[in-house]
Amino acid sequence: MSARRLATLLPNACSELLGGGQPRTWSALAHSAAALLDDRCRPSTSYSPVEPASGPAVHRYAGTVQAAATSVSQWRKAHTAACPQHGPSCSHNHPRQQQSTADATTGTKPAPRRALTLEEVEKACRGCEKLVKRGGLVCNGCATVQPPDESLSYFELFSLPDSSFDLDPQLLEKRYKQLQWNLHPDKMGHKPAQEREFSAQHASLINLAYSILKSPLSRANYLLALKGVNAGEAFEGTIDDPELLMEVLEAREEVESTDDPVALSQLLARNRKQQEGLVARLSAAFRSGDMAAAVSLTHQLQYVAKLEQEIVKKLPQL
Amino acid sequence: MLASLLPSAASALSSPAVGALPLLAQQLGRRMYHKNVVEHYERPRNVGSFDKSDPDVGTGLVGAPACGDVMKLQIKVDEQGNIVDARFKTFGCGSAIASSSVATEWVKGKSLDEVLKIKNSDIAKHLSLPPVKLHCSMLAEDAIKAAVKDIQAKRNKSATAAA
Repeated sequence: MSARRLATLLPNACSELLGGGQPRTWSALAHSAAALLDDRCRPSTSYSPVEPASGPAVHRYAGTVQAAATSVSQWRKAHTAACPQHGPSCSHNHPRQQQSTADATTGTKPAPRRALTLEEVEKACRGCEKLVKRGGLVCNGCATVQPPDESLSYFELFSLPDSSFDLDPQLLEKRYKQLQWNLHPDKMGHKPAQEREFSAQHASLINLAYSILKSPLSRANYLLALKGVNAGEAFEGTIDDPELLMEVLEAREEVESTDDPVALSQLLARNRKQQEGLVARLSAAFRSGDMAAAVSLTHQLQYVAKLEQEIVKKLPQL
Repeated sequence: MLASLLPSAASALSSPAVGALPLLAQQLGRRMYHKNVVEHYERPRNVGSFDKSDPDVGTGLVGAPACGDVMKLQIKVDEQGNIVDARFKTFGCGSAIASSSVATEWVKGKSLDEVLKIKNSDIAKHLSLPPVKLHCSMLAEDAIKAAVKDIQAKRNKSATAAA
């Protein structure tokens, strides 16, 4: 609420405060009025208003007004006391005094409804103009669905504690379900078309992110891509690591040569165990920041995973 | 099945434009493998292996981690440095198999210097590979280079050993 509105709403209070005189500045009025308000009026978003760095901080919404000269009684005293320059008949309309009083009370100008900066306009909720935090999917104030934010990484999307290879699969699933519970297009029937579209985009992005983060191989590829390492899926070149390739070739030949389901299931079990071992080593490599090892292990995991697909294809039923 | 479908379409078409889809494919609204790819996939040439330890054999073993493909290309070289025979073994998609099959056909009868000039773009053009499969032809080119490198290393080693 602006100071003007406050004044119109509380005329009696104002005249009482001012002791019959004219208000010095609207801001001074606002502070006095704010002193009367209790703490009911608090914003529900995480946005905290820009605080003046210097001088006594005045929160528009806070019930308390800090600074020595701004308690009501003190203000009254300051302004009804005899003016040192002109004696008791003076109406205290001295520009200099006014300014210093204003400065003393506010420090800098308070932050009422100022124009939002360009950056903030982009992030302000369309419905209610409250600022929505980066990555916010739905406005806290008016529950409007926000457009999807491309700059979020998948880890940030799910509010995971950190962007590392190790993650708790149960936490991931919990977050996924929470997000879809709030955002699924099926729940948006009553919303306008624009918001339904946003919700659909959100939901498909969340599905994609979930599937990528869930499988260790794709998670590793994604992490490498995040760190800007040219390897994994993004790497369109060829490798000639003779040991690895020879192993892969022999394994594939082994699978190719047999059609016996028993033998194939044994190979599958061995393959899955191999994958688990590789995942454990990958986790250690990412934790220690050894990117070269991470790249090499990701490649190995890629081949082993491909082999698993081939075995599964050959097995009659699974 | 595809092969039986394509020859009829290929004979039926008379499209002058290079790279235009066969009429049947256009009507069906889907992309089909080029007949060369199908040919090399269903009747691959030169599948097999040589003995790796043979001093006249060069082995190129390359892989594409992005798709999990692996390709082995072997060449048999005579004393003058001409390739007399080639074999390949590829685990991968149809385009990768066709690319390596084409590579083994093209290297036969050429010298080691000549085969190094074979570019992946030539292979891709011969097979009309779509953009998403261009890395398969790259794999074939790298396999040829690796095989040549291997035989040269072997020859150098035997030369220095003899000297």
